[in-house]
Amino acid sequence: MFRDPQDVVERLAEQRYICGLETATVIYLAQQLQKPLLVEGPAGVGKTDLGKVAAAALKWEFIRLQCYEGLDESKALYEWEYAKQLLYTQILKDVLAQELAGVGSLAEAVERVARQDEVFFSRKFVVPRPLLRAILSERPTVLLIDEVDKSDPEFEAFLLEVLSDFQVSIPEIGTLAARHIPMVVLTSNNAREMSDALKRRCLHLYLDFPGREQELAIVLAKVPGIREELASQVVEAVYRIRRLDLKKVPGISETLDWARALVVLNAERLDRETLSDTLNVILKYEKDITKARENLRQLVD
Amino acid sequence: MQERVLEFIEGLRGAGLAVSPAEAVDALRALTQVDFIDPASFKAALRATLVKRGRDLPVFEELFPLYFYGLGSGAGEGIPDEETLEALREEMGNGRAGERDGPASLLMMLMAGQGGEWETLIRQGARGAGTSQLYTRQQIGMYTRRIFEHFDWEGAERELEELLRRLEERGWDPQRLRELRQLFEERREEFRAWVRHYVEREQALRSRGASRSDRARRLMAKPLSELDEAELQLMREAVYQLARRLRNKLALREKQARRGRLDVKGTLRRNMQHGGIPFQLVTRRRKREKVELFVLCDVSSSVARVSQFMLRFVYTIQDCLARMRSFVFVDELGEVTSFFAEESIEEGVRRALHEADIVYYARSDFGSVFRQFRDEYLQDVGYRTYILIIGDARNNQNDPCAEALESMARRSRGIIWLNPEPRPFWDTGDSVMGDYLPHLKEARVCRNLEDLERAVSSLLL
Repeated sequence: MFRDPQDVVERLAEQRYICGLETATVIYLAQQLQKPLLVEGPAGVGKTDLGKVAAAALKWEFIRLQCYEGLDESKALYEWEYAKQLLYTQILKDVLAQELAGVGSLAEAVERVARQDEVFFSRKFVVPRPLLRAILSERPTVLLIDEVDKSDPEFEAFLLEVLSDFQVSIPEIGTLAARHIPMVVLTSNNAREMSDALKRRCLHLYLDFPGREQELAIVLAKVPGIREELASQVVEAVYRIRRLDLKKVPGISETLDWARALVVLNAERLDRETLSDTLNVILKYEKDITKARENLRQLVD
Repeated sequence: MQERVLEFIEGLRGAGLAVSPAEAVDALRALTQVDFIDPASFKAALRATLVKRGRDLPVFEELFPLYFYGLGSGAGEGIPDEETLEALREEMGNGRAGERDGPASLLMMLMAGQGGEWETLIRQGARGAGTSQLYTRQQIGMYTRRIFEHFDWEGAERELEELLRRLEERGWDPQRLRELRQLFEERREEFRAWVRHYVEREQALRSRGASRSDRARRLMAKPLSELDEAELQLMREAVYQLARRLRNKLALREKQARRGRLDVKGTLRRNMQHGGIPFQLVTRRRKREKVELFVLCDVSSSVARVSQFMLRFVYTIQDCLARMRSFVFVDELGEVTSFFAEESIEEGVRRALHEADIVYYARSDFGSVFRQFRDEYLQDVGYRTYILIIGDARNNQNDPCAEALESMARRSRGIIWLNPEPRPFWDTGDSVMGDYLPHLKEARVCRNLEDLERAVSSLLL
């Protein structure tokens, strides 16, 4: 468990995740209040990573549920293992026959089989999906529900139920309650506005692009062997690129990719030529690259 | 502090944020977990629990300092050091031996009061001065003065003189006495700033509380032709949200269609491989055709506003439609479908309203437009196609040419007409609505956003 917000900052930093005290406070609160944390913000600012490093810092189990359109309960919660059930009935045919030995009527046979049906609808035949795994886990877990905005509105409604009680009822088995309330991190890119009901149940964290100093710290922490001078040039250039009117603004992940690329290329320092040659690492659209090339002068001193 | 947080929440609500009681409870619980003294985590805790939408953040940032001014720094700067305070307390106690347990004097409060005590004091003062008439920003100065002057400063100064005299008798050195007097002045100015802050906060609460929350609702009902520039901006956002909502609804319906009734034949066939044991169920799909839409927008100056919103609306829900073609017209028809397909919403709508291949400054002629549509585009209209016409049917005495509209109606699934004029005005002057009415599947008045939403959802749902 995190002791206080400062502790969050330090332990995340050990995992090479640099965050401000405000972000840390929110994470700390999510842990203390046992509330899900909804993280929003532009692409590539470390929303998903936040969940991962929180798990690593706490040494908790990390369970991830990637959302997409069409994701439903059977993929997210649990599913019956039909094939296994079928297989077992085949293998156990003889036993079943014994069970049914000396049965007089059809009704009686059905009665006998019915007495055994919980054998086939037991935990043994349930395939737990991420949500159920998080609930059943012996160890405390961090559950990351990634890109929840990509899921359908119905799935969101279903999530509400799970997130508020942390228990699941499987009709054939009964209600399963969580041993440890997992720390839940939901991330959203705002492809769709999440419902108010979901937002009400969550703490909300808006991660934005970091300031120059923080980004520099991140680059230095995450890119081994980079010289400080180069790192600060990279950060400065990215900062300026973000101010151009672009289709896709580079996130921290792009900054890191770029810094790594420059290290691999043995770049001493960032001049116009190097920048122009490596632009495709940070910018993902031809149009953006052209625009950045046109503005090279503004980007590097 | 709790009370202050609740007031802050009240303020947020007044500014249009939907803060539920559950969230308020979360906020207070969160505050028990963080260090009060650290302003950053205090703020972070409130933000995480109360603000759930990016667009609400500016409101939060704006109101926060109004409510938590001077947080963590006590009541302003420069509280006298402990020794001086002790001397002050002692002397003042001596001076008013009989009233020791009575309320602390204004002077004492001023010199030694903490933030919360000042707050209470100001609140009392405000109650005395009365702030019920405080509405506009211009009144802030006046009310600040009024509340500030409500306090007995003369009394406090007299007391200060008295105090200084007695301290002098005790042998304080003149330099220190001067500093004390100086401090009094500084603290009084600080106090004035606090009063001002209090008034600003009250004003923000009142002016916004009344309007913001139902502004959106009023906007929905306000005739599109009467909007000013700021409202237009808000409106654009509202249209977008509306269209998104509609799209979500449509998507949901699509999903529900997939969960149809059990298809026995299909289930048996699918489960042959399991020896006829129905492990996988097959459901019958309800088929629902996607609507095709031809939109004809009058863009003559009289209805351009409504058309603009209609076009925006249609742009946003395009992907719910199997096919959509858009036209604008004044006295001839110009197709703008490609603008929508290629441009962003702003640019697409702008080009549709300015760059189609028609004369924009002509006089409307519906008859000739319908003739043109019949001759050039009717072949593309199918049995699934709705034709949506937006216009006021003011034909400038031209031939209405209702038979062209009739042939359009026959070939399509139906024509829906949205008229921005209220019904009593139809058929007055040069309006020829009556000639067209028999051929329309539906004719609606469409004066505001509500009408627009109703019209479009009845078309799609």
